[in-house]
Amino acid sequence: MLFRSQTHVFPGVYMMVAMLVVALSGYQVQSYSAKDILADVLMTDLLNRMDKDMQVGYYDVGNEAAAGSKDNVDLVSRSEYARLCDGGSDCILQSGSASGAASHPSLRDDEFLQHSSLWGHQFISGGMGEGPNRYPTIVKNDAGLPAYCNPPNPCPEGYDMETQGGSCIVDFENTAIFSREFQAAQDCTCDNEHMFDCSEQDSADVGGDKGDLNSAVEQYIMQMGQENSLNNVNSLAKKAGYPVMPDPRLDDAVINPFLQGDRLPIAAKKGNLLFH
Amino acid sequence: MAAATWSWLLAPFLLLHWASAGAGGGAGGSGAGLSGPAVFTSSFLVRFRRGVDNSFAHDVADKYGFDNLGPLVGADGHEYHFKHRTLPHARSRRSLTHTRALKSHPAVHTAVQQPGFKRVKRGLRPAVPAIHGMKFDLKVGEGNRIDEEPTDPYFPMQWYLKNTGQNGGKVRLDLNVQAAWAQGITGKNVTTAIMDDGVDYMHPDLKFNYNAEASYDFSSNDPFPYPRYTDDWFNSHGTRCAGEVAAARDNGICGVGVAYDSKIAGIRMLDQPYMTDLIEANSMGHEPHKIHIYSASWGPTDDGKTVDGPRNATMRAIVQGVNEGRNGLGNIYVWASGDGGEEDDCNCDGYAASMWTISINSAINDGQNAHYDESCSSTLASTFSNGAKDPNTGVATTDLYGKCTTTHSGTSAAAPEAAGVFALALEANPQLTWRDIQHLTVLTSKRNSLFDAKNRFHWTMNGVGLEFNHLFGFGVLDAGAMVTLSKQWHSVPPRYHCEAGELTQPQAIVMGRSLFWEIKTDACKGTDTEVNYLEHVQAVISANASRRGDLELFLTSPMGTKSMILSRRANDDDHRDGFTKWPFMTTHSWGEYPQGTWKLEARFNSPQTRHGNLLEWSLVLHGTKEAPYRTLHPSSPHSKLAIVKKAHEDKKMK
Repeated sequence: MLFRSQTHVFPGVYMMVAMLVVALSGYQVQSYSAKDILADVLMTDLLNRMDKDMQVGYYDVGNEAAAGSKDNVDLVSRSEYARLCDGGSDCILQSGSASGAASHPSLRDDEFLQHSSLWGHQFISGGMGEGPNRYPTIVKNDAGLPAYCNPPNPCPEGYDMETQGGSCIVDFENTAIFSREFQAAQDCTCDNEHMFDCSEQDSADVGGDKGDLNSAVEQYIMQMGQENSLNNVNSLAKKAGYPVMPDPRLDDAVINPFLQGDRLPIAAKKGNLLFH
Repeated sequence: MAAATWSWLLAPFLLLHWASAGAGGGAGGSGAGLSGPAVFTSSFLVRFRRGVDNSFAHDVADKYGFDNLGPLVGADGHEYHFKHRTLPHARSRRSLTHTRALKSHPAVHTAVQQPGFKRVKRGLRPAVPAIHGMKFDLKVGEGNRIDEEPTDPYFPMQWYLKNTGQNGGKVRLDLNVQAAWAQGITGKNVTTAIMDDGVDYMHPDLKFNYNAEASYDFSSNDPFPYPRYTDDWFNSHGTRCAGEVAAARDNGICGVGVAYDSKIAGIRMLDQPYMTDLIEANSMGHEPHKIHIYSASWGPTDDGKTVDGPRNATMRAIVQGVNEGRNGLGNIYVWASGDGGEEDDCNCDGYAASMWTISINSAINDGQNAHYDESCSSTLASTFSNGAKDPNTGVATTDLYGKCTTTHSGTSAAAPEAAGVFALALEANPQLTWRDIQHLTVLTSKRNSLFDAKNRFHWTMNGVGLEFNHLFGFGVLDAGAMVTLSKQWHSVPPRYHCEAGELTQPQAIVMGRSLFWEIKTDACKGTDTEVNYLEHVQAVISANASRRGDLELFLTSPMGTKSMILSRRANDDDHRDGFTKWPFMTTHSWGEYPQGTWKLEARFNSPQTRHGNLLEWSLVLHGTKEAPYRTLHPSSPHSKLAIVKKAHEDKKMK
């Protein structure tokens, strides 16, 4: 409340507060969270405003760096996290490639460039009007793999819910039809492997079958290759699954109060320094 | 208790070997969805900085959108299993957001998102099961039901319970259960947990023998392990296994279970997109004082090229079960040895080959092995399963939705029969430990007319007169004999683990010539871990090869018993992973004396030139210091017990 008021009246104060939050290493998680979001804003802004620079960035990536970095986003995140942990003994990511990344400044630069190729790939495909294009960088689809329907839970013989707890179905018919209809009423993935006909049941998870995941990724790449709109590119970029984006499915996801208001471009400028 | 006596010895051994073996197993080609291990589930292992109680863990989980599924077995409140409410069950990438959120709590030390891996049910399954629904009126004026035959309509088809020569079977080649029933032993007060895809506990042949208290659904996280419907009835597997153990008698429905007065619990844990270490661990450690026997008819894929086994938490749960379950007597874990056929080796399945599980193979109704049977030196014994050619020679049992089937098959059908026999033994003597059950199995299993249809493996006598076969272990279970011996059984002495020696100088295995390594040992004589009478023997081996499947390994004991601990697997084309501290186990030297020179032979069996190296061999001997059977009185001078006792006494007099 007070914060919003200040933002409205004194924009400069808002920026100072944001910078203070970023600078306070004692609040690692909080500052990290803010930085993640700033980084995301930065990427969006860069994409919108620096078309040619992105092309240059993409072609500058060496093959070695590309081959070594299978998962661009994770590498960037690991690098950031390693810096923030700064020697914490319980830091799960401060080992292996993360440590290696932290101790090689040049690799950080590569990571940045490699990371940009994720965007560049999409942009270049669209900008060149080609499609579909095959690039060595794999765009990982964040679609969930299959989750099965839940079977009914009939009450066992002699079961007393009041004393034994749990929630079970008293009025139950032990037939295949009952179970089939019980499951068909759910919003869940149809089991392609074991159902004779899945057309009867609409799947909430399009292309979610594990066997189809690769083809889903392929379709996804084709789709991006054919898009020629910056807005769609932005949208697709989100679907690509930046890992620290808040999951919209989390009902109790906490909205960062520092993001409220219309000051994003200014914040983005400050965040840009973090990558140099 | 014997378990308490040596459990402190076991823990460091466990950590020393199985941690490495687990890593090796993981590297050995886990099939996990997309490519490599890149599948992550919504389950998280959460390690706290200090021991916390369940309500504290629950509060932490709830704060970040997780469900707390309870503490890990043996973790003293330091480790819990959390499952996120909305994260997809399986994703192709790790969720750093959720991991980081958990770690932001001051009490949380580590949070690890669980990778998923493949586990499959064992047994040949027709696309559409044969479905029968038969109802008979109970016989009027039923007399002494124990002596009379069961009146269940499918009993005449249960040749594995009573072989009258049905469909070309061999008369009296069966589990000899009627001899146990005739002694009044029917499995009362024993619960077998069917760890599988669920159990139809509403089935009229099962519902009165169902132990709801001991049951759980880990696939859906609720107390009711009812199976999920599919058009092909794919999830009938657990219900079929359950009927073999505990289907009711004389109620006019389906068949009769081996231990028809025992109870079954359902643990649904096979019906989610990917298995995790936590689901397996929680299943095998579920209600260890209410569940006596855990029956598992699943495992790593039986494709003849997989080398995989229990991960850390699962291994710890099994060890904790045998050490502390059943109030210290130890839980019995029964495992289906595998359906990979002659081109697979169940020693590459770390569950079946574990010395803490009882691995069961199968024979068909005329005594030959089934065509899908794997063979390995860790198999302890066999029961029966279908011949696959004639559907009427399948295993008759309960099926989904109150139905019955005659086509249950595979080593999946064999393991529950063994579980039923063990339930009978536990009623006969509730004080039997997990090791007692294995000793009883060795001493009472019968060769009968079991034989290898392809004439590859023959019956062999070990150094103390015990006959074994690479396919069938020590033979087919005999319920009557096991019950009889159980009644007069005295628990075996404490067991020790002797690390008998280690060779770590790599050596090349040359094509066309066997490589021999030797370890001479006194079996820890004069130390705390002295072993004089063997139970399990483990050869923990690291090796590599240009084609792993063409590598063969043999272990010969000082008493001259040669055991094939790894057979040729024609489909295993691995050239990168090899074996890393893989614990090859053999039961074939049971009862022998371990002192002397052990020989390991490595060679290539292939029409093409192969090369590789034997990198490392550790020999671990498990057994007792004191003679295990000295207080027992054989009922016959020709029984296996009498033969082994005489061999032990002869040895002592030298």
